[in-house]
Amino acid sequence: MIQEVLMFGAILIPMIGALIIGVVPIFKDDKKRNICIFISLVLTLFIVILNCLYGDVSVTVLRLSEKLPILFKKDLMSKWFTMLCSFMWLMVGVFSFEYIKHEENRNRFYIFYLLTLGAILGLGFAGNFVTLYLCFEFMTFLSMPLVLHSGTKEAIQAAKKYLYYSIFGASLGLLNLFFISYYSPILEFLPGGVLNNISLTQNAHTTLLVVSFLSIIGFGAKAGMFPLHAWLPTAHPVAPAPASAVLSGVITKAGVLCIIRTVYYLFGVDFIRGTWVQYAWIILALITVFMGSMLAYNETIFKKRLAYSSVSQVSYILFGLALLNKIAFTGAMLHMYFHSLIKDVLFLTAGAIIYLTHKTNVKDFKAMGKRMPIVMWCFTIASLSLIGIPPLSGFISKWYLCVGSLSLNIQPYAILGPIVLIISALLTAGYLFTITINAFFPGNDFDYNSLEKIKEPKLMTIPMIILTILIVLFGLYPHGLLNIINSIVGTIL
Amino acid sequence: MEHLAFCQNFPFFTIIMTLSSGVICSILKPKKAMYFQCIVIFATFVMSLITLLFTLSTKTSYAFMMGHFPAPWGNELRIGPFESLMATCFSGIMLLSLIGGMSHIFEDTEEKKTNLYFCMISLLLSSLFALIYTNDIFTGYVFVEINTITSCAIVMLKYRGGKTIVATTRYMVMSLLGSGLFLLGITMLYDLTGHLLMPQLGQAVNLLVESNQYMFPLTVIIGLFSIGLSIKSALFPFHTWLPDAHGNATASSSAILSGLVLKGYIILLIKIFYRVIGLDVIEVDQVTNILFVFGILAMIIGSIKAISQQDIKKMLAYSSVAQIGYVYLGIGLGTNLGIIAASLQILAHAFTKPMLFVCSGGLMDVSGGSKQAKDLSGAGYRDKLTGVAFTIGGLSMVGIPLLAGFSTKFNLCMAAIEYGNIKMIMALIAIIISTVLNAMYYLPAIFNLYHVRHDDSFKDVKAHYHFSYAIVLVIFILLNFSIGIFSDTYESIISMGLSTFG
Amino acid sequence: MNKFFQAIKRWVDGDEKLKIDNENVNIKSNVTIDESTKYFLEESKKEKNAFQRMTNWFNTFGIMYYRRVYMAISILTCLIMITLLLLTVSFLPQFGNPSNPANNEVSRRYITEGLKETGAVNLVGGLILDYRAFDTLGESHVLFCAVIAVIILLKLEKDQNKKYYLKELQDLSDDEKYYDYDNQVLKFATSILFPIIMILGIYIVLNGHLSAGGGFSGGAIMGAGLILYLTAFGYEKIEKFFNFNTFKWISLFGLIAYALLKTYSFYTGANHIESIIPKGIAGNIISSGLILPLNICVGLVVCSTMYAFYSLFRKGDM
Repeated sequence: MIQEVLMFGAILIPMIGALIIGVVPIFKDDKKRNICIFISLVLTLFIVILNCLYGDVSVTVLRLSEKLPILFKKDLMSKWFTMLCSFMWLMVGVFSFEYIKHEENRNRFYIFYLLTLGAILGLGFAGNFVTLYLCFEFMTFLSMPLVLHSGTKEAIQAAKKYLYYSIFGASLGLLNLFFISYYSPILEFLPGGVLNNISLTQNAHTTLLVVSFLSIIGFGAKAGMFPLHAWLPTAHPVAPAPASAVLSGVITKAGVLCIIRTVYYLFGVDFIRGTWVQYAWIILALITVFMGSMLAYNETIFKKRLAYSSVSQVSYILFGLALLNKIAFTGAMLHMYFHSLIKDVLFLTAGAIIYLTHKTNVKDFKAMGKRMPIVMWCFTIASLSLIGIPPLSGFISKWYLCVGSLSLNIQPYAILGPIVLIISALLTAGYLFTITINAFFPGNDFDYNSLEKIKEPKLMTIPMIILTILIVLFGLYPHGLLNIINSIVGTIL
Repeated sequence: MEHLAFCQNFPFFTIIMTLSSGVICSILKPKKAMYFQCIVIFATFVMSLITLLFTLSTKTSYAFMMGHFPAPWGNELRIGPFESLMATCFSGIMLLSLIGGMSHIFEDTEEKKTNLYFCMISLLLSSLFALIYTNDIFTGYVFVEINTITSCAIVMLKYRGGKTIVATTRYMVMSLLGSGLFLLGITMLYDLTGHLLMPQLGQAVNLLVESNQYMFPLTVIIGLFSIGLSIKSALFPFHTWLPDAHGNATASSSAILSGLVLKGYIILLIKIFYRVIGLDVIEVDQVTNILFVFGILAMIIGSIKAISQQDIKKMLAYSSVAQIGYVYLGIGLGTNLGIIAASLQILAHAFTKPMLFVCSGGLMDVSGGSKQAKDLSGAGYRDKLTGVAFTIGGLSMVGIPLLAGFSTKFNLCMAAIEYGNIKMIMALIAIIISTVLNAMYYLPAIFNLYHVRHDDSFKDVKAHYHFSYAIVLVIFILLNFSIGIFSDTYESIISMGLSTFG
Repeated sequence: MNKFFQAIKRWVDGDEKLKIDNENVNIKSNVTIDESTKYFLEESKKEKNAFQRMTNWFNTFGIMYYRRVYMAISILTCLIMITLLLLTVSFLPQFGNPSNPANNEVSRRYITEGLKETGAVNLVGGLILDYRAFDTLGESHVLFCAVIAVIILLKLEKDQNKKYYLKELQDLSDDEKYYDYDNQVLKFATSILFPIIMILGIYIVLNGHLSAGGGFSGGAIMGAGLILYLTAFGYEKIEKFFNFNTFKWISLFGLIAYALLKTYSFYTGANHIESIIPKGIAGNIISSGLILPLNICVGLVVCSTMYAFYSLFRKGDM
C-alpha cells in the first residue's frame, strides 16, 4: 500500500504543485511562488529517494480496453531514471529562480515545468507500452510550451518543429504496440523481452524486425539520433536556458529510456542481436556521433553548439545500447548520468553568461574567465569531463563504451566504434577547449583595464558547483553507480 | 406470433414523432418551435435509450412489421443493438448541437423563418432514424430524399452572405447525383431479384451468385450503390461540395451535417453490404479495394488541404473529409473487425466534430463574428471554456491516448494487422502520415487560440453565453473521454449488434 | 460550323433574329490578352524561380487549357457512364418475360389476395396505401420538405403594416401591372372549367380505391385548377379562399391526420392486434379501411403544394 502511494505521490506532487501555482492567487508573487516550487521539487526528490529504498511494485490503474491496461511499475531501471530526473529538475529549478527574472509569463513557465516533471516521472514508472506511449505524448505536449516561452516567431516555429518530429517519432514507436499485442499475449515490460516463448513464422519475424527498427528510429527522434535529430538545434537557441538544460539533459534521456524499454524489455536482446537491425542502429548512432561533433565545431552560437554537442553525446549512449553486451550497456548507463550532469552544467553556464552579459556568440567570450571565474571554472571542469580526461567521470563512461565495442566480435563494427569515439573526442576538445582558452587567456591584444568583475548570483552558482562536484566525485568513486548498473544488467542480458 | 413489448414500438414512435413535429413546427412561432423541438428530440433520445437497453438485454435484433403484412409484402424495420446504439447517439448529439448553437440559429436566420429551421431539423432527424432502422431498400431511398432536401435546407437558411446559396446549390446537385445513382441501382436490383426487402434481397443475390447468373449487372449495381452513397458521404474524389457547405453554414448546421448526416449514409452502405450483398461477395468483387484506396487518399489529401486554411470552419470541414477517410479505410478492409473499427470511428467522429463546430461558434462570438485565424488569436483567453473544449477536441483528432481519436486509430490498426499483406502496410503508413498531418493543422490552431495578442483589439471582449452552452460543452467533453476510456463497452455493443446484423 | 452553332444558341436564348449578317465571325478560339496581362507575363518571365514561373503561367493561360481538359474529361465520363449503363441494361432480364425474377411470390400475392386483404379494387392504390404505406408517408413528407425549402428561399415577409420590407417588392406585388387580368376569354372559360376541374379532382381522390386515381393524381388536378383560377382572376380573388394561412393549415391537417391514422395502423399491425377499421364491401365508396381517408389527406397535401410552388415562384407569397 505504502509503495503504491509513494509511486503515485512522486508523479502527482509536481502536478499538484503546478495546479496550486496556477490557481491560487497568492503565488503570483515571485518569492512565494519560488518557495512553493522549491518545496514541491524537494518533496518530489525526497519521495523518489524513498521509492528507491523500497522494493518493486506494479499497479494497474485502469483499462482502456481489454488489451490496453495502464500499468505503472517500479523496477531498478525506473528507480535509476526517476532519480536522475528529479535531481536534475531540482538543480535546474534553483538556477531558474534567478534566470526567470529575465523573462515574462513566469507563472506559465513554472506550471509547465512542474507538469513536465510529473509526466517524465510517469514515463519512468511506466510498466507497459501503452502507459509509456501515453506519458511520452503528455511529456511532449507539456514540454512544448517551455520551448515557445518567449513567444517570438522563431520560438513558435521551433516549438512546432519539435512537436511534429516528436509526434512522428511517437507514431513510429506506436507500431510496436500494434504488432506486439497481435503476436504476444503479454504487453508488459519483462526483463529479457516478451517474445521468447513465442514461435514466429518467417514473415512475422521479418515484420517484427522492421517494426523494432522503425520504433528505434521513432524514439530516437526524441533522443536526437539521425535522421530525426533536426529539431534539437532549432529548439535550443530559442528556449530559455533552464528549458534547454532540462530538454537536453533529461528529456533526451527519456527517449533513451523508451528505446531501452523497447529493445531490452519488450523485444528482448536475443531477438535483435546479430540481425541487420543491430548493425543499422550502430551505424546510425556512429553517424550521429560524428556528425554532431562536426557541426558543433563549425557553429558559433553558443547554445546551438551545445545543442549539436548533445546530439553527438546522446548517440554515444545509443551506440552503447546498440552493442547489446554487458560492458557497453554499463558504459551507456553511466554516460546517461554523466552526460546529464555535464550538459546541465554547460547549459547553466550558457544561461548565466546570457543573463549577465547578454552575449550569445562564442567569439564574444574573450576574458569571460576573468569576469566570471566560478562560472567558467565549472565550465572548464565539465568540458574536461566531456572530452574524456581522467580522473573525471566522462573518462569512465567512454572507457566502458570502447571496451564494450571491442568485445563485440564482429568486424568492422568492433573497431569502427573506438575510432569514431576518439575522433569525436578530438572534435569535442576542439569546440569546448577553445572557449575555455579564450575565456581565460584572451591574448596580448586584449585590453585588461576594461575588465570588470561581474557579481555572480548565488542562486545560479550553487547548482553549478554542486553538479561539478558530483562530476568529479563520480569520476573518483563510481563504484556505487557500477553496483546498481550491474544488478540491472544481470536481469536483462 | 410473439407479442411485442411496449418499448419495442419506440423506434417506430421516434420516426413518426419527428415527422409530425416537423410539420407542427412549421406553424408555431420561433420560440415555441424551439422549445417544442428540443422536447421532442429529448423524448426520442430517451426512447432510443430504452430501446438500446432492451436490445442489449435480449442480445438479438427483432423485426418490426410496419402494417398488417409481414415481410416481403409489407414494410418492416429491423432493430438491434447496433441500430439502437447509433440512434441513441445521433439523437443525443443532435440535441446537444442544437442547444450549443442556439444563439447562432436565431442570429443567422430571418426572424419569421426560424421555426422552419426547426421543422427541417426534425425531418432530418426522422430521416436519420429511418435510414438506421429500415429493412427495406426503397424506404431507404425515400428517406434519403428527405435527408437530401433537409440537409440542403439547413445549410441555406443562413441568409447573410451569398456564399451559402452557392454552397447549397453545389451540395444539392452533387447530392442528387448520388441519390440518382442509388436509385438506378435499386431499380436494376429489383429487376434482377424482384424483392425490395433486404433479407429477401440477400437470399436472392446469394442464389444469383451461386448460379453465376447476371454477374456483370450485379457488379455494376454494387458499384452504383457504393458510388452513390460515397458521393453523399463525401468520400475522396466526391468531396468537393463539403468544405463550402459545412464551412459556410451556421454552427449547429455544420455540426449536425458533419457529425450525423454523412454517417447516416455510411450506415446505409454498411447495411447494404451486410444484408443485401453479403461480405464475401463484396470481397471478391474488389469494391472494397477501391473504397480502401479512396479512404487513404481522403485521409491524406483532406489533411493537406486543411493545413493551408485560414478560415477555421473550412479547416474543420476539410478535417471531416479526412476523418470520413478513416471510416472508409475500415470498411475497405472488408472484414468484420474492419467494420467494427469503422463504426467506432463513426461514433468517435460524431462525438468530436460537433463539439469542435459548436466551439467555433463560441469562438466567433468573442472575436467579433469573424472566422479568420488572425482574429481568433487569443480567443482561448477570452472564453476559457470554449478554449479548453476546442483543445480537447483537437487533441482527440490528433490521437492522444485517453481521448476518442486514439481508440479508433488503435482499432483500425489492429483490424489492418489482422488482415495482413499489402493492405496492412498501406493502412499503417497512411494512419501515421495522417496523424502527423492532423497535428500540423490542429496544433497551430490551438496555439493560435492561446497566443497572447499584442494589439488592443478585442481587449475588453468577454464571453457571454447562456449556461446551457456551457453544459453542452461539458457533456461533449465527457462523451469524448468516455469513448477514449471505455471504448471496450462501445466495441462490445457494436460487435454484438453486427453479429445479428446480417 | 461556328455560324450554325451561333444561330442555335440564339434560338435557345429566345432571340428573334436568328441570322445576323456582317457579323464578325472570326473570333479566334484563343483568348486575347490585354496590355496588363502582357506586362505581367513579361515581368514574370524574369523570375528565376521555376516554380514561380509555372504558377504564373498557370494563373493566366493554364486556366484556359484546364477548362478545356475539364470539359473533355466530363464528356468522356458521361459517355463512359452512358455506355456502361446501357450495357448493363442489356444484361437484365427481358421485359415482359413471365419467368422474370420480378414475377415472384410477392407480386403474385398482391394480385391474387390484394382485393381481399386491403378491400381496394384499385390494386395500385391498395399497394401504396396499405401494403407499403410507410413509403407513401415518406413521400408526402418529401413534398412538404420541398415546399418548406422553397418557402425559406423565396417567401417575402411582411412587417406589421402588412407591407413588404422592400419598396421594390411592394411595387412588384402590385401584380396587376404585369399580368393581364382583363382577358375575357380566359375569364369566361375559367368560370366554367374551374368548378368542373375541382369536382373532377375530388372525384378522382375519392374514387382512388375503386378505379385508377388516388390522392396524388387527384391532388395534382385540383392544384392545376387553382393555378388556372389564379391566372384568370388574380390574387385578390383567390386570397378570399386560399391564402398562406389556408395552405399552412391544410398541409398540417393532411400530414398530421395521415400520421395519426397510420400510427394506429402500424401499431396494431406490429403488435398483432386486430384493427377495428372495417374493410367494408369491395366496390362501395366507404370501404377498404383507411385507404379513403388517406387518399383525401394525400390529395389535400398535393393540391396545396402544387399551388404553393406556382405562387411562390410567381410572387414570392400566396
